[in-house]
Amino acid sequence: MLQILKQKSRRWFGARMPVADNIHLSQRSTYIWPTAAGYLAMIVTLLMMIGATNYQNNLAFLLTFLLVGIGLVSIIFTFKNLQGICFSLQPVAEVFCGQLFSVKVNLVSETGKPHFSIGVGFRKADCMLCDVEANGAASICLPIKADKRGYWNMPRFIATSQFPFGWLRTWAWFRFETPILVYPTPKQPPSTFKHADSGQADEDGSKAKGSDDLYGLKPYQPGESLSRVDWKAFSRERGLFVREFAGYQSQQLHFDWNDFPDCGIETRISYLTSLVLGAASQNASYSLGLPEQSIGQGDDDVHRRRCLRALALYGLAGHENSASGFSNG
Amino acid sequence: MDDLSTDNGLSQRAFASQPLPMVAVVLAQQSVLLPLYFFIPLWISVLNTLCAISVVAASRFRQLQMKRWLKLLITLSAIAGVLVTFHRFAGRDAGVALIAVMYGLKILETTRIRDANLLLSLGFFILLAGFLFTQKPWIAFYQLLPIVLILNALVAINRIGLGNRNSFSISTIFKDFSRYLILALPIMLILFVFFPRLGGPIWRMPGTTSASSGISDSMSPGAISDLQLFDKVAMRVKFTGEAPNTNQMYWRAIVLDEFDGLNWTRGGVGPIDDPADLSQDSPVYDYAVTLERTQLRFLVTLDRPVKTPRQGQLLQDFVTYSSFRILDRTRYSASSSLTHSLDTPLTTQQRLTYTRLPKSGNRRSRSWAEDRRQLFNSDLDYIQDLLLYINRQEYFYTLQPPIMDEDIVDSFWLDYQRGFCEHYAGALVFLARAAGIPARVVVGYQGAEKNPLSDYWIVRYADAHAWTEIWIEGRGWMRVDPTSAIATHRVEASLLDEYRQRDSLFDEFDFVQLDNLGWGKQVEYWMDQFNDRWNDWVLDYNNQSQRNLFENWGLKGISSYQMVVVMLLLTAVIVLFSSVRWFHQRKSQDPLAAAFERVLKKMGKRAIIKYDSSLGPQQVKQLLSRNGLIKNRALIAYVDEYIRLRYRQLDPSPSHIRRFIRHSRRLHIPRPTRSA
Repeated sequence: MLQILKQKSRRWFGARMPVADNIHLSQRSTYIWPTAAGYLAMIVTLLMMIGATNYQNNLAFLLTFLLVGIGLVSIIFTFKNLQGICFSLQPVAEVFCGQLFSVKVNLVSETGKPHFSIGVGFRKADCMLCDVEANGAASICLPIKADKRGYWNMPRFIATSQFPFGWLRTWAWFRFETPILVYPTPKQPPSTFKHADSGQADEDGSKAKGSDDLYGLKPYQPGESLSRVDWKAFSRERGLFVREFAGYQSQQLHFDWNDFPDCGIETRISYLTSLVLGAASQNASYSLGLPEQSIGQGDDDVHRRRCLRALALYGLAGHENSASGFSNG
Repeated sequence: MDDLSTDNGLSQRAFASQPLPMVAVVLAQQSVLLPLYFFIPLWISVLNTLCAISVVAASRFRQLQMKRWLKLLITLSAIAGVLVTFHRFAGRDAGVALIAVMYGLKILETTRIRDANLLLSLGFFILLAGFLFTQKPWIAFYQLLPIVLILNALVAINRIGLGNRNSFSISTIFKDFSRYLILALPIMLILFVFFPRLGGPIWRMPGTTSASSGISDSMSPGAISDLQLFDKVAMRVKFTGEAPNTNQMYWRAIVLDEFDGLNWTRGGVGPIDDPADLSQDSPVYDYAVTLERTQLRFLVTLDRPVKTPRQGQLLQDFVTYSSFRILDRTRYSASSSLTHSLDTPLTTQQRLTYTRLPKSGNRRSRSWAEDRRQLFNSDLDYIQDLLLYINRQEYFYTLQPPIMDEDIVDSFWLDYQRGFCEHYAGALVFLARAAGIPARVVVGYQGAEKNPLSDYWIVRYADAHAWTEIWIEGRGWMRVDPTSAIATHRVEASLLDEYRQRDSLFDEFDFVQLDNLGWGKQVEYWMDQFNDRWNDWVLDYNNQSQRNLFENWGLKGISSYQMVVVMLLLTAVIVLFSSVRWFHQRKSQDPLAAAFERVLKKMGKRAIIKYDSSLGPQQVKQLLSRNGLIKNRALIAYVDEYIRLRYRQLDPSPSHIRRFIRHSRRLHIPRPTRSA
């Protein structure tokens, strides 16, 4: 019984939740409830009412009623503070499954008036706050972790505000309509495999790692193998850099699904992702072979993204449709 | 987008640990306490102010933060201080002092948002305490300031970034909060009018301190050496019809009939019914009285009452006894006839009471009276002679009489011959009784002053008066005012006006004309009128007046339950109305856009285009040209003009805007035709 009620209420609330890429909150989807401070103010008002009644003191009544009036009016103003803001998602950089990344929500005032102390987050108790200028915009960065690869709908967001008096909290849940593409978790394949260690097997094999031929440093990008991070530079607080190796230059690599026999689908995808990232980070030319799909040689960024997308969407039903017209990053 | 972004947000935890906007909080707290500072011991005010200053200083310089033990010590010694000052915690004064101390010291313990919320919310409650001491208009208007400052502090707490939180100016605060107040005030009024009032209090606080009053229930003229005339208002009177002459206005409060040689006091007298016999051919005055707090149980009526107020009971000596002590301002209506007297024979018991004198004392006056009475045939002649005696002999009217502590009638009547109304009234009654004539002292007010700006009369404490009543066979109780018999040149010059008003010899009292009023006096009358309205509409709005009001609206017999329903409905209407107004007020619209929008709507109505609020001018233009009709050309030109003004011109001049708006209004929009 309780379950049914819960489901029903979720459906009811869900139906009211706006889903779009530019969220304009409406009264329909915005809720309001007193905070602890609001309950305190109500108790004080009640005490004042009792005192005024007892002393038959009309000024006390007036004061109490003025407070009641302000309390009621504050409903409108609290509500209004959250309304008239357009929430939109700043395009997300590359996202790998299981890794923390930050989403940036942009807030734009559409009322020509400032909005104060607006909180945006995934949970009511854990929001980031910002002010939105009258004719300006603000943005909020929220850390989040995607838990599956492919097209992924971000969890619902909450926008909330207690302004002006903190007596009431108004909030609204919303979702951004367009999913984001989550690349698979890169996982370095163990050395037992043919392609172990960054896949140079198409070579003669005599060359071990090429790690001797340090080519240069480039900024770290999520998904790259941590083993190549220049930790020394990091410890000197210069930031995260990845060592690039000359050994990969002018090589023709091929990563194939069948390179990893006896592995599960997700493991293979993770290995292949790692290999693609490794090769791309060193500007190597590589090709990718998946069942029913193969991507020819290439070494540029477009190629890299195509490979990663193919891996991200591999085996997910209906991905072809949803993929159309979607661009990431 | 990025360059517009301010920052990437502040986490809720960081928000919670922001330093509090102490300046705003302390201002709110001190403004709440300020009115109390006038009524509580000075040391509490000083202590509270010092604490507030130290807290503000500590918020600036961390090393000034107070140690825990010091806070505790201050708190404990302050509570002990209240106990020492008042010897108790109960009662209004001690209670309020204690509240003020606790509230003042609470600021020391205000470090987190929760503390500040508690402090500010309780502030509203503390504001009520001010009303226990005074209900003058000034405090009601003053209280708007703490309300606004509390709200300001709440806003400051709920804003992010300290930069916005401690800066403020009173004028911008008031501008900001006027929005809230403007919407809250109608709600306040509705609740005020409709909220059902109880008939009486739920409980009474003990220890309410007393205040001074104009008349008391005893009279000891000998003990007074300096009578202060208080300008304070004792009562206000509104006559339904005509008002009597001011020198006829004897306001009867109490009758004193027992004299112990020093004090005149009141004996027990039984109640009577309202005098039914109104056959006498004298006008009856109907009036409504608003009596200020006297702490006595007597209602003041115009001498003599023929119809007693509902709240009172007429006694045998025409004193109106109230069913309760006049602790608050009381309102009642009564009717009086100036010449009405009852010729009821005195019972032996009554004759005894009204002729009784102390067995000893005042021997000289006693024999003086007995000798004097021998010279006249009747009691009436004797009394008239006494008045003449006062007029002819060297009797002076003064407010600084010598102190007479023994045989006061002797020393006044025969030795000093100077005093004020109580001396004269007391002496006359004594001399009458000494001659065996029943007599009594009446205390009340004489005269009144009309507020020329309004239709009511003001009676002040300074108008307090004592006169006498003498019982004459065949005529009943007659009013005799010995003070009015004093020759004018023997009245202290400073009191002449005062005196003249009472003097029945000067019938033509030159009444104040509005245009002769000095501006000071005019302001005073204006203030009194304001006070009267304030009392009428704000302070005295109670269970009864609430019912009367609803009766006037044709809602007789409305129940409390119905009132609550009406109240809630009206409040809901206001809230909904204002919310609709606010929510539909999108971007404050450009006048050009508004005019254009109106034209578009009209086009939609005439089926030229399909109206949609999201239509842009370019789209409209496209739609219009798609129809390809020649008659749309004017409309297209109009849209072009709009685009030029709104988007091409950086800052269109007001005259351009005006011309465009005029153009919009006059624009001919063709009616739909069947063929089109």
